[in-house]
Amino acid sequence: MAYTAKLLSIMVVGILIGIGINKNSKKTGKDWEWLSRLSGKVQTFVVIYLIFVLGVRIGSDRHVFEQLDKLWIVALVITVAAMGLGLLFVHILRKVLKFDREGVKADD
Amino acid sequence: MTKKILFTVALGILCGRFATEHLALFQWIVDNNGLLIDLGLYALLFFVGLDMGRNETVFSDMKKAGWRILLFPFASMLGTLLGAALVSIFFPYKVNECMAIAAGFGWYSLAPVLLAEYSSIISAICFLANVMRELLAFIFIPIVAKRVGYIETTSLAGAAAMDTCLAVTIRSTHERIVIYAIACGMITGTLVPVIIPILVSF
Repeated sequence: MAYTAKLLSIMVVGILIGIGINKNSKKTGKDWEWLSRLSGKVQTFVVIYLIFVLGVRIGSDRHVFEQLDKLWIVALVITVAAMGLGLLFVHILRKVLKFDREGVKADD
Repeated sequence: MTKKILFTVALGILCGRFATEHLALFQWIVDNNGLLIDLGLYALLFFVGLDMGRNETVFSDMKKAGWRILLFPFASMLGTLLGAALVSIFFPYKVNECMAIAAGFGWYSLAPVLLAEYSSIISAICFLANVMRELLAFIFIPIVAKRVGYIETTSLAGAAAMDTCLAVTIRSTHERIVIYAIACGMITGTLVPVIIPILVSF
């Protein structure tokens, strides 16, 4: 819970700075577009970095490779069914609650 | 993005499997994996927050969504458990065992540990299934975002929705989906250590 709180706090700090920049932009007319471009580039880099680090962690765990030949098919079928039905339920709920494809409430 | 992700995951796995014994750098990455992931997440969440703060429509979207945000993680969990229960007929494992395997919701570092004392085989399948869930989520999040819908992407990742998969979700959807991803990650993640012990107690 403390970890979750830490992650949310970091995001809130970012949000507050973003709101501050917006207000400054409206007040002074200063263009902060360079920051948006930088943010996009940093996020793409961090995605690649995170996925690589995760891959190294998975690859370094011998347990995965030793069990793959026997159990992977069971794991795959369960995972695909679980993800598929989970996706379907969320899709039905989104339609029932009338959110559009991009997650915006359609009737507002 | 999907190609980049697949290439990066494959490269990371190969480096982890074959390079850790020969190159100190990769062993260091393995030893400090938690810290490295945390640092990446901190940077990512800060910049995501910055974009959210700058995008004024995000807040009005969140306000519109309201309490409904909380329903999506439960729909995802229900579907996940039902899906696992349905395919249990194909395997020599009990319904509750297959459900417990899926109830890791992608949290492969915790879920197999919770099942370790119950059965080493179920624990091993759980590990593989939840690693696969995270990897499949990486692959399918951009596809689902494009062809099905943005909110649905959070269901694929499950407990990893606000963790490693958050990055892919943001790049494939919109900043407003972060709140759905965080709700999904928080709720499913919190319930993993609750649901698994209950399922194997039968």
